[in-house]
Parts: sequence; C-alpha cells; structure tokens
Amino acid sequence: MLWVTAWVGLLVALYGGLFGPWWLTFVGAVVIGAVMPRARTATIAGALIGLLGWATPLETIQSRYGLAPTANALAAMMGANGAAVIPIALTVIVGVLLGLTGAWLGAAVRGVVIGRRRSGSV
Amino acid sequence: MRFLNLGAALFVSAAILYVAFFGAGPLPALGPAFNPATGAWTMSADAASYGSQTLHLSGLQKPAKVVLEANGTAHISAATDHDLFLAIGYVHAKFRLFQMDLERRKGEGLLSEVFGKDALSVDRFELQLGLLRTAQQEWALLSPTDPVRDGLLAYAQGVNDRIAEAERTLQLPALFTLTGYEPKPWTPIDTLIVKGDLEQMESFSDTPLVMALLTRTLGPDLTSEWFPVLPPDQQSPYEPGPYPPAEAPAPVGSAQTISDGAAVSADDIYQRLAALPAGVLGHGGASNNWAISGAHTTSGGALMAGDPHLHLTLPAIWFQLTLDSPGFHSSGVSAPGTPIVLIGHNQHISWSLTDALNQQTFFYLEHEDAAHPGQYLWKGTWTKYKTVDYEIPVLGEAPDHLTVKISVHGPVISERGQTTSMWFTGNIPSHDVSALMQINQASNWQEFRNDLSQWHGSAHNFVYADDQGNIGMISAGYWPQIAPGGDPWLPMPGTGEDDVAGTIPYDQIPQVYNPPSGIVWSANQRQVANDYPYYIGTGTFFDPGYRANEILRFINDKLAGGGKLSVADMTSLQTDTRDYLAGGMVPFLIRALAGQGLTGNDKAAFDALNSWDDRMEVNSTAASIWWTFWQAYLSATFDPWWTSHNVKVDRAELNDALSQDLEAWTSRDQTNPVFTLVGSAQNADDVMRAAFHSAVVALTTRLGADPAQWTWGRIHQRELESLALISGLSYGPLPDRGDAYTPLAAPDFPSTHGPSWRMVVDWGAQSFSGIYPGGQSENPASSWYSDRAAAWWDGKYYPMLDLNAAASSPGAAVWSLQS
Repeated sequence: MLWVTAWVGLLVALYGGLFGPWWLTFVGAVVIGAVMPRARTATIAGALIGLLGWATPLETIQSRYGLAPTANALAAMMGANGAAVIPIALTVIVGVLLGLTGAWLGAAVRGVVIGRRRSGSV
Repeated sequence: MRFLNLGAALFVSAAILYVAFFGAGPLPALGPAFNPATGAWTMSADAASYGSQTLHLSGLQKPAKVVLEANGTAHISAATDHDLFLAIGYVHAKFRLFQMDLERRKGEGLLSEVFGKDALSVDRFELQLGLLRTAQQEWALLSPTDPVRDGLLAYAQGVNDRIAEAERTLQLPALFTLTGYEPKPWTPIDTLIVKGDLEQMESFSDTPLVMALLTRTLGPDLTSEWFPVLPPDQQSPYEPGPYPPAEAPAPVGSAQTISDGAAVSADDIYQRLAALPAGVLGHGGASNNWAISGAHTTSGGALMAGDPHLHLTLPAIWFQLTLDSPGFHSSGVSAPGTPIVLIGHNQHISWSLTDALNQQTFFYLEHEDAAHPGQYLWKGTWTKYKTVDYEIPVLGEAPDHLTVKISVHGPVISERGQTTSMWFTGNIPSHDVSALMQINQASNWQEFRNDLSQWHGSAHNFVYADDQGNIGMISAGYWPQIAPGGDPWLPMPGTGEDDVAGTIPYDQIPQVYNPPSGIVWSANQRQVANDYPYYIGTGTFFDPGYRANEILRFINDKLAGGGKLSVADMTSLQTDTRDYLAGGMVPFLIRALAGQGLTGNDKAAFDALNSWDDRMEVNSTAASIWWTFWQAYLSATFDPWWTSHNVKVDRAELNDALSQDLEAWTSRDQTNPVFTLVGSAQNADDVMRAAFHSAVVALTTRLGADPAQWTWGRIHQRELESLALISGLSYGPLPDRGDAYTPLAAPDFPSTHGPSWRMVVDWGAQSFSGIYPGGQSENPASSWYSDRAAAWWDGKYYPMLDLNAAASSPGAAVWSLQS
C-alpha cells in the first residue's frame, strides 16, 4: 500500500511536471504524507517525488533539445550570466519544496486526525 | 504539539504555494515560470522547432511555403496575396510575438497592465499623444473593398493562428510566462499602432519647448544667434535648387518673449518627456542613404545603399524576409507587427529611407478664461474641448483614470502654467501601409513617386534606384506650413492665426531624379539650400550635416578623375569612421597649440592629433583626444553661459547645434563675444588651448598616465540592448568604432543607437546584400537570437537570396503551410 501510494504520488508529480499542472506535485505529496505512517519517511518521500517530478522533465528536455542554451538564457535573465546551474537548481528546488511541504502538511493533518481518534478511543 | 506542527505546516505550505502561484518581490510566480512543461524551459522546444515541417493555419486559402535559410531569413511564397499576408503574420508571431505585443502595448497605453505602475508615465503620455486614436481612425477610414484592409485582416489572422498554436502546444514565448500574462488576439488596429510607434520614434520632437526655455533664459537674441533657422556652416543639401520663387523663410524673431505661464508649461512638458524611458521617443534621426547612377559605377548599373540608424535592440527592430505571391516579389526588412517590406527591393527597384527631420511637432498655448470653463478661444469663438476618457489598467492596483482634452490643434499635453496642446504629424490618419504595399509593387520612378504621394505621415527621405540605371530621392510626407509671421519653432498662440494651414505641395517638397551629378545622398541633413522658399524647421531640428558632408566627400573623391564606384566602396562608406568635424577643426587646434612649448602628455597628445587621419577607430588614441577635447571645448565655451543664465535645458542635448556654432566661430569668427564670458580667455584659440589641456588631464585621470593607452575603444563602447531591459540578454557593451558624426554612427556612451540595417544594391551585377545587428528570433535560447551581431560588428554583409537560391542553400528548412 505504501509503495503504491509512493508510486502514485510520483506519477502524479511527473504528470504535473510533464504536462503543465505543476501544482500536482504538492497535491501528490499531501496524499503521501497523509497515507504514510511515519512523518519523517513521508517528508523524505515527498521531497523525492518533488525532485523526480521536476528533474525528470528537465532530463527529457536535455535529451531532446539540450538544456544549456535555455539554462544560460535564464541565468542571464536572473543576472547570473554564465551560471547555468542556477536556474536548473532553482527549478529542482521549487519541485522539492512543493513535495516537501505537501508531505509535511499531509503528515501533520494525519497526526492530528490519528491523535484525535486515539484520544476518542481512550 | 500536533496542532503546533499542523499550524507550522500550514503556514509554510501557504508561503511556498503563495510564492509558487503569485511570486514575491522580484521573484516571478515560480510554479508557472519554472515548471518544465509550460514555464520558461519551453524556450528549448521552441528553439528546436524551426526545422522542416508541415503546419496547419486556419484561414489559409491555398497551400503556401516558408523557406528558412540557415540564419533564419524567411522566404514566404503563397498562391494568393491574402495567404502571403497571413503567412507573414504567422512567421512574425512565431519569431517575435513578445516584441510585437510590447510594441502594441506601448502605443495603446497598456504597459502598466503587465508591468505595474512604473510604466504609468509612458501609458499616460501615449494615450495623451493619441497613437491609438489615430490608428482607430485609420482603420475606420479603410473602405471594405480596400486591399489594405484585406491584407491587415489576413496578417492578424496569421498572428492569431500562431497565438492559438503556441497556447495549444504550451510554447508561448518565455517572457510571457515570466511576466505572467498571455497575449490577446491581434487586430488590424494593433498593426497600425506599431506603425504609429515607428512614426513617433522617428518624428516626435520637443524642440519648440527647448527653444522656449532657451528664449526664456538665454534671451531671444542669443537664442536666435546660437540656434538659427539656417545652418551656420556649409552643408550639402541633396536638392540644391534652383527653386520656384516664393517667400523667403522668416528669421527667428528677436522680439519674441515667453510668458511665465508658457515657460512653466514648457518646462513641465520638457521634464515629463525627459523622464520617459529610453526608446519611447527617438533621439532625432541618424540614418544614411545614397545612390549612384550607372554612369559612375564599375558594374554599369545603379548602386544604392541604405542604413537607417535606430535604437539597437535584441530582438532587433527588423525581421528579414522575402515575399512571393501573384502581387508581390520583394525582399528586405519588415517591422514585426506590420505586414510588408519597409526597406528593400523588388525585381525592378530598390529603396531605403532616412528621417527627414523637418518640423513635425508644433505646440499651441490655448487661451482660456475662468468665465468659460472647459473652453478655449479659437478664431474668436469659445470652443469646447473634446474629451476622451481612459481607464488604464495597472497591475496590482486600481485602474488609473485619464481624461485627455483635445483642442482643434491636438491633445492637451500640459495644464501647468498655460494649457498647451500639440499638433503632431503622427496624429494625421495616413495611408502609409497602402503606400508601402504599392512601393513593393512599383517598377519605375513614376510609380514610386506616385505611391509616395499618399504618404501623409512623418516625412522621410526615400532613396531610389532601379534596374534601368536611374536614381532618385524624394522626401515624402507632410511638410507642415503655418501662416507667415508666426514663430513655429516656439509654442504658438492657439487662437487660430498660427494654425497649421497645410503642407508644402508635393511637387515642391525636396526631390531629385537623375541629377546631373549622378549621385543622391541623405543623412538627416537639411535637404535644401538656404534659399528654399519654405520654412521646414530650424537648424536644431536637423542633423548638423557632418555625416552627409563626409558621404559626399567620399563619393566625390572616388569619382575624381573619372573614377567609378563599386559595391566594395558602398560597404566601405557604410562603415566609414572619418569624423568630418574633426577633419575641419583639428587643423585649427594644431595651429593654436603650435609653438606653445608643450611638454609631457600635452606634447604626446599634440603629436597624436598632428598625425591623425580623423578616423574614430577602436585603437586610435587621437580619437580619444579629439573627442575629449571637443567636449571640453563645448563645455568651456558654453557652460559659463548656462550657469550665468540659469538655463534648465541639458546642454549636452544641444551639442549638435552648439558644435555647428563653435565650428563657425572657430573657423571664421575667433573673437566672437561667446568666448569672453570665460574670464581671461578672449578668443577661440585661448579657449581651445585651455580645453586641450583639461582634456589631457581628464584622459590621464581616467585612462592612466600613458597616452599610448588612451584608445578610443576604452572610452567608446556599443551595446545591443535587450528590449525587455534585461541586461543579461543584451549584446555587449563592447569596444566599438565611430562616433555621433561618422557615417558609421555610434553616438552616446555606451552607444545604443546606430545602423539598424545595412543594405547595398548593385543593379548592374544584380547583387543584393544586407545585415542587421541581432537575429531573427526573440528567443534567447535560440541560435538565431544574436547570431548576426558579430558579423554586423565586423562590417560584414549577407547576400539577400531569392526564394530559389534560399531553398537550395545549405541548412535551409521548409515549412509547408496547409489550411
């Protein structure tokens, strides 16, 4: 079940990264956070799907067209001429942050809900 | 603890999502901007999408074809004229959609909608000026059967086909993504707006305001002496006369004074215009064109060259293409947003243009009275202002309301001091697009000249050459005239007696066809000699004439003794760096310094100037010394007057006019009273010596103690500026040759203005070549973004191929366009 959740979360994030609804990374990570029993595992998983969900499409662009000209252009726009790694890193960081915070939120909600259930059963 | 964790998670998630969706401070919305599918990374896919392919465009009547050379030059071939214009629209939008959107937004006062309140001053100015109102009028005046109307509609359809395709394939230009908006559909009015932008950049002038401020501070006598109607030095008009007898131009009236209200108003408008961002208004013109008849060329056919000097941007103002359809076979450059070749050639004729720089903006002081609110006195009648209301959308703020009052003269542009309105040729509905379409189809001088008779907008010097060896020049456009006795170089009373009464008759505007000399040339100089019977502007409106003089000198030198000119001479002249003013003035400086016992760096600088060839080359130290000296000479002569008379106009803005004065006094009037205000210096030689020494000190301070290191390239650089004002996307600044007065024009530091397109035509050899600085694509990730810049910088040219040659050229791609 956990693996299935992780895979679904990754697929959702990939779909968002490849076809436009980028915010699905956050949604997928919320689900992962809500389903996985351990918060730490969930946040790591969330960060990973953010990373893969945004880095994989970049790799696709690299293999089809080459990433360097666009990375250089974006770096120039950002005032960091020649530092092509910056826009690449920024892109991946955005994905990771969406995954991380989504999973954290999901896990936090899960914690409150489970805590309430436990309190109710006592 | 769990609730605390949930609260923290909610807070951080909300913060991350907010920045991802909406951005923060300088950060764009990170999600839309950087996601790999639809964000800025799509530049990669766009840059790779220029290869051979089949494209489906709605509205296409028959299959069409676009051949793209390896450098992106587009050759469009269509079975109908309608399809040709549709395909041009598609191709323009494919490569330049953001640029086109920016241009229409500028003219329509919609920059604030996407860039926020920082752009509000531009929007308010543009809506006051009225390009949008003029474009709407021009569109309304086109009859339903007018082919221009069909052309504009087809062009808009092509642009919209590309917008739809880009949205469908998630490949809108990245700058849309980064700025967070999508383009609205293109309309024919947008095209007419882009045309208006060009006109404004070329022809709008604040000179009457400047003259008013000068008259107010320097006084009428000095103003009329220093800024005269007729040039103080020898110029080289391309139409020297004789002219039909008529009334002589009036001198600047020495009794004219400027009231307090008029001065406040002039200052208000002047300050507003000065605060507008670079590129909104032109610098004044600086372009060259010339033609040589077949009798004087090595090929036996006519030669023609043209290089319009404009703001140099990336993407460039031009897009290169050829057109082939039943009605059109032309090649050259177009302005993205407009559907036709603006400068180029067809099978029989070639043409290029320079700004005529005659006076095309007039200011009127409206007579108002508290007893007649909302009215002005005109021809004895209290007349109501018309008003137009605009709601300017502003990003992140409430819309800005603007009411534009319009008098019979034009829009009110200031209500501080005395209400001032403005008459501008750009506000006259004109059939420019129709004229251009017909020029593209013309096959001889008569047709060319007839077509240009419809050109009622701002005047330009159109050079002409054809496949029969003929050459010509005509300064087509409006040459506004007011009744004798007025002072058009100043803001004038708006009570009716000084209204623009018409234009110089078409047969009497400056023009020549196959002159006996066998040459025609223009470089924004005054087109006519001093006895031309019409007022066309004071000397301050026109270029000082140094480039025109140098062009004429170069050509005459080549022709001396029966010599003939070749294409190599044309390209050499387009990249000529000889400063004509230096050629005239350095001998006077040398004479003033001779025998002065110079030592050290003064002596080294003197020696460098003494052996100089007057060329502003990157490695020339004498070029640096000359230019720094001349600025110091201007400063030493005029700054004391500016200070003592509290002149508010930036003196540097008037250096062209003041340089002409200084040239005249230095060569013919060394004891002019202008020199006496600087204290002990009593004549030109004294001031020159002091200026020379201060120039050497300035160069030593700036560039070091070794005069051998004072190369021009260390002072003078050039930059192709990013149109989006993103410095990382600019080309340069890099050391470059030339200055404001060389045929290879490069004014300012760094220079961002210069030859925006160089074209050379040899009808004898049927050879056509051209180049512009930049590249065909606005996508900075594309190899066509700035690929022509280095070749342009080096003075190289690319052949202008026809469709068949392009199709068989190495690396060519073919787009098959289907409905």
